[in-house]
Amino acid sequence: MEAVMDAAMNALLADNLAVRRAGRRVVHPLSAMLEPGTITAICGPNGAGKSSLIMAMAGLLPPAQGTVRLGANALGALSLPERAKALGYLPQGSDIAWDVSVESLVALGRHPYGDARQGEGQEAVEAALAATQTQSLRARPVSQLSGGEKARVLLARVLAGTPQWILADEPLAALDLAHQLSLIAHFKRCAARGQGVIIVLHDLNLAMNHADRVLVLSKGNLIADGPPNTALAEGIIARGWGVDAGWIGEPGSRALIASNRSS
Amino acid sequence: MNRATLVFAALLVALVPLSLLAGRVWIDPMAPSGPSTTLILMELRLPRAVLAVVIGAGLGAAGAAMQGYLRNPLADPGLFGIAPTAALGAVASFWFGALLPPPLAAWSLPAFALIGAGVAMALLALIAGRSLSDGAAGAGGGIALFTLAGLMIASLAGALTALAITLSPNAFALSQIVMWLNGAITDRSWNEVWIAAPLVGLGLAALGLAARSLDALTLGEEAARSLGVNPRALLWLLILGVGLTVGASVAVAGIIGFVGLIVPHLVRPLTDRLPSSLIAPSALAGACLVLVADCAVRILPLVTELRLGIALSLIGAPFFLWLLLRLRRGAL
Repeated sequence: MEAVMDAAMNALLADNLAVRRAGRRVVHPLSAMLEPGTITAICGPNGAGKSSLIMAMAGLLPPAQGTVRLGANALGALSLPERAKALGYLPQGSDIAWDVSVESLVALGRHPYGDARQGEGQEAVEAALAATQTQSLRARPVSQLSGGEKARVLLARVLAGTPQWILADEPLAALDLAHQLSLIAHFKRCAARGQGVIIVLHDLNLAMNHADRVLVLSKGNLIADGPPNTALAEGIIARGWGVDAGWIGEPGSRALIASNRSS
Repeated sequence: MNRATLVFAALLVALVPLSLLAGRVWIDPMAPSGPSTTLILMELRLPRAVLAVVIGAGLGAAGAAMQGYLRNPLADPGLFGIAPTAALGAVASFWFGALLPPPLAAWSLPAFALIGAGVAMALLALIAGRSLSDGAAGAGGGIALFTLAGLMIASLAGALTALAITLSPNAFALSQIVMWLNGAITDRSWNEVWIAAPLVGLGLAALGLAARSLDALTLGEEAARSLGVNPRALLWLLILGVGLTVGASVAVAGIIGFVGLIVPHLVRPLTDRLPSSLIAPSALAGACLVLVADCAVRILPLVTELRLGIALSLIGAPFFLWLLLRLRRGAL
């Protein structure tokens, strides 16, 4: 009973949430209660509203309708530092304005606490470097990192803020296969530690094999929500992406074979 | 307190006494000082040195903050359009200052320039309220939109200044305006120091308050907001900080360009490159640069003293070119 209460306390809840951007409705009203300790993937074709949804869930876009709640509180009722401490957001891309060292970059994750160079903050930065296996890179300027290293360092920046929730917008997009799997493993460890993880994923294979739950968006509508084998069933893929597709292989290592519709 | 702060603080401490000795009349620190020496030191050289330090500090820090805010090493405080608007105010004082009663007329130039800077700040704040409304912030590009607005204010002020010049009542006024537009701190007194120093001090405080938020912007606008940065509060601090530092320096010295652009580049290699670690050393380095440039213009054996604004542009333009070439090679 207590565990259930705990989960509800820290759940991230989209309640009849709709999002408008530039005057256009990009996410139609949807509801979903996401639980910490799991990986939720948001999937959908280009322009389906995935980024808008994750930004709204991170409190970065105001809802046009409905609310986003963290536990009992609407996000809008939290102060900026409170929200920043609870929700860590990893934007799409890896645009870093200044050629800072890895350690300075990761320390930016302590911004809501303002304690990057002392005590708890220093420990959190160290833990984030350790969790992403980037300690050996700490003194390196970010311009000298490979794509995979940069992705890990940017994740470490989010982890340094010790958020209850990690919301990452296509964190795997620019990575090769090995780095995709290594980053997924990092997300799994976060979930195992009790953090909630929400990631926008383009690669349906990764979503199928590694997510605990999948939300499928199409044209701003939530067309499926559930465990990957039901939410990413062939019928949903046909509806969402307009392609004929079939899964092969065993659970845990399934692969999608897709082809353009002949008809 | 980082390494760059110490380096430029030490340099400034060494430069200030040296600058007092240099000029048309060289002062020998070993020789017994006569009354004329004391007069030159206390009423000419010292206020001039202090003013150079105040102006340079303001422009250097404003440059560091602007580059941090726009996430661009080529940004300059001029992009907000404060300097041209303050200059327009000053030019207006050549026209309207004579209409004021004599005791006020003496102060009309700095007063009009500060009013000009204030108008620019108010316009920017008004535009900020619109361009960073929640919807626009969500759409991204609020900062780019705002910068374009600043550039438009700058061109409008520039055009109005040009108009004022072409309509100038007589050749004397014309030469006065043109001379003044190329900034200088020749023959400035303690009065100018008392006008500029408190305003620049306030401006520096505002930029200091913005520093941590500027660091977060390293990761982009959205990531900075997710870290708890309030974009509108940040922008208002910047308008206040850049407006006061740049507005006050134009009010007492005219337009002095390139300091805000160059100085952060001199400082950056000595720091961890985050905007917050640049602001204090850029203030100190800006003070050093303006102080040295001002000594140079008064030592150079020319018929009339080279204008400080021209001298800094002569240094600044080739430096900027070199910077662009380095940027192409990806060295920044």
